[in-house]
Amino acid sequence: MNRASARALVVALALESLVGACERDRPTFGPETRRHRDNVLYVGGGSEPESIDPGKSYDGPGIDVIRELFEGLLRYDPKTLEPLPGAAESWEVSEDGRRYVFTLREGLVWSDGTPLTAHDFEWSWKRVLAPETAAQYAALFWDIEGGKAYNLGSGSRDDVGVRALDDRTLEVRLERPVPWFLSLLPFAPFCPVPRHAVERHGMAWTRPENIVSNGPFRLVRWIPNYEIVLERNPTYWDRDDVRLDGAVLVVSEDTHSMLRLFRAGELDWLGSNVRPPPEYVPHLRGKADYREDRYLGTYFYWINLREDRNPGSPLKDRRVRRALLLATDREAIVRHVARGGQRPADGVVPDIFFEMGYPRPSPVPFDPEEARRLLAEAGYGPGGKRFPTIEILYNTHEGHRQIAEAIQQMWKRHLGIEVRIENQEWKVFMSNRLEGHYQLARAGWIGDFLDPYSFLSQFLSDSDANEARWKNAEFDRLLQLALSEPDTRRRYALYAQAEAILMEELPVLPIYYYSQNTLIGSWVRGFHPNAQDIHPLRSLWLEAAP
Amino acid sequence: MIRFVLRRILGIFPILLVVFTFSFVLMRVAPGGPFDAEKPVPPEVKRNLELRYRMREPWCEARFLPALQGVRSPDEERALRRASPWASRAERVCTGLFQYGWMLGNYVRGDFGPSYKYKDRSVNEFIRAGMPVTLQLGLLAVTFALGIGLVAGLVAAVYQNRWPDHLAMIAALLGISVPNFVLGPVLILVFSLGLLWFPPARWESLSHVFLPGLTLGSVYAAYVARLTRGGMLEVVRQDFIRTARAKGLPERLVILRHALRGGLLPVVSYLGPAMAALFTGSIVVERIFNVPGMGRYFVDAAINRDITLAMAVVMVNAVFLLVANLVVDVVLGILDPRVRYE
Repeated sequence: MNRASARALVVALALESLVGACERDRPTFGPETRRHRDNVLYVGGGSEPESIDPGKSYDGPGIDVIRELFEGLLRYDPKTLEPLPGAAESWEVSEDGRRYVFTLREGLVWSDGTPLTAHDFEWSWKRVLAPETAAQYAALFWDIEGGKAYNLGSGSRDDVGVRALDDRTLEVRLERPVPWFLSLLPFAPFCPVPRHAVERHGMAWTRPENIVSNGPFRLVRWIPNYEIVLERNPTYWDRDDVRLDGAVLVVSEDTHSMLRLFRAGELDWLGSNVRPPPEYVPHLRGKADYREDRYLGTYFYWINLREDRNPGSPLKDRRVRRALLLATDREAIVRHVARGGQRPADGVVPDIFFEMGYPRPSPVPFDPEEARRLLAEAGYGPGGKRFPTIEILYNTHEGHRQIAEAIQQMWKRHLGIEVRIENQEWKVFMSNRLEGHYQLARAGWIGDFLDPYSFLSQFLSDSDANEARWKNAEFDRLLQLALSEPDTRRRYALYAQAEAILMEELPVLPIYYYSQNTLIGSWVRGFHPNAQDIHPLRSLWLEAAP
Repeated sequence: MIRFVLRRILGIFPILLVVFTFSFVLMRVAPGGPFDAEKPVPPEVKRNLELRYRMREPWCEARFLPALQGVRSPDEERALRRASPWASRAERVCTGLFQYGWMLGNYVRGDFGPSYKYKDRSVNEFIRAGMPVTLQLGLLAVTFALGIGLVAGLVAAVYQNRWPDHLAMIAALLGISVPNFVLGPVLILVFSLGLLWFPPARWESLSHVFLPGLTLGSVYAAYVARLTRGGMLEVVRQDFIRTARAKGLPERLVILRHALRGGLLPVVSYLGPAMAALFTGSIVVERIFNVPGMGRYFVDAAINRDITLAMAVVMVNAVFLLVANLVVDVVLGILDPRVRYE
């Protein structure tokens, strides 16, 4: 070591101890030191997973478990979520971006010792597409050649563009280039499933006694609505890099009981499916074990533009929609109502993309004056037509109610508009939203992958998720164009143009960009906040564990 | 007596069928389906799901709404249904009947069917996993209810209108009026986060079960105390008690041997439905203390429109209630010579 680097080291050490001292000086919400003595991480798991079958899972908690039990061709980088080599050690992409060839690692095995081959991947992917599997994420595979036709029952299994060329080589052919295809591969539906176990046990193959997996951990115990116990998988190719002996996921939908468990030191980390409720946040802020980061999601209100609904509604006038947005003080909502570190939204593509080179949309000011002018221009207000009472629909939840009430007040005060707010139980709400029985309806969109397309595609004219039934040919054209643009910067520029149209037309009122807040003991190391709040347990470890 | 019991057992089945039918209809007419989600799946995929879970029946579609089979988008389907509302209704009813028959067939074979929400699991598994825990918790709660309630009620009756009576009745009033979603967190705050005597949640050891058992049992303990007191006070005024006292029996024996048997009758009638309720679990206590029982499904399954799971817990509860009532009737007959089995 030369002198300069030695000095740098001393400074670094001094700084670290200083930071460490500060950390220790701050009070904590949970205990200051770890209560458990083992090398097992205790995590809040959120609600009971709907399924831990990679092919069938559709819910956050299930996908989180699958990430530990199974490994796809690629896996997530814990810091950036960029795809890293997983079961595949290398891959090649053809010039036109439509053919991928993956080479699997040598000597891969399932947790029961059976060799894991490219044929397993071929079988698993086709299983997701098989209509009888009824996989909810099947549409992610529609870009694979012949995938959509097979899934819809018109094509055949043999025409699907996934093929094992030999035991270690998998060829994938796509219908069109998909710029983010590689970043999909660590995602649950793309993980392999053990054909021999699935065929032998049927639906029960995911039980601890039957399950065969290939990820960093394996399933030891699964008690419904109580806990899921994992232990390090001794047959995993990178087992020496997995530092935890195992993990216990405490399953509960009751946030308060999870907070109490954390407080009592029974949990090391609240987990990414449990969020401290907003009323706790002012108390938690400043605690050493509390953290608040940005999250890949946008909170907004749909405005129903369906032709066959709400005839004559003033909301069908673009100026009225703009006026409503201008009269919504989103800064105040974020600061005083949502309170969890959210940022006011000026569009639907979350601000996380801004530092990845996505052009920031032009800010939407809070401007009641301009809003009143627009409303008058549309013929409402003093001397004009009377503005009919409009209704905001939201699903029963304290947080949503508070935001709806704040907006109700703002529009009343600044625009003189009467707003009725109505809450409905979740499934009733969803059914009314999907059927178009609403004027304004609350919504939240969480990205499935790290590309703005995940947020913009729901506004395509033919998208089923386009609940406003807003149609814009230019918007569709720009998104289509973006798909065939491999250069990220230029693709983002096209997206931004499309988003500008969206913000001009306003089939939605963006409110805030989501945040993720959590409680995590200082002894949990290797934790990196990231856009999708994905934290593979294989990269976490416990300080001073045996 | 045996004929009476047999007849009652046979009578249970038609009642269960009515409960089954009624809850099925309620689940089906509730708006929103099990597969409605914020991120809608493509209509074709949803169709695959609905076919798999019998929410759609190809035969009914072909018979009543043949045009539906070529339809791809939900908007088209909606327009089509609106255009011919009667055919649409007929198709819905037909599909419902098929689903009803399918589920009934499953029940006859002792199978509650697949869960609509938890796609890897059958409803039987949830019941099998949750029931033992719920029974343990229920048993504990009954123990608390009887242990605390009987003693408090007896003491109150014996010391009528004196301070032990007032104390016990104030406590009972509190027990009845403080709901368990308040009592649970307060107990946790004091005994686990404050005094560190018990863990705040989960279901692992004896120390874990104490607080949830107490929380669940407290309301019942309060009722039992009041009923015991009331029953005892009624009995001790009767002639045979006076006779017993006149014979010179010590007060302890008068109370425990003669009065108690009659004084407990209201408690026994109350215990039937109470035990049925305790043994099917409590969503509130199970959630607060993270107890893996089956009480939570009463609410959760209905909210998720998990038809099979929701109906299964209703049916299990119905069986418990009917059996508990039967047992109560038998026990009452043993305790009360005035009751005759007809």
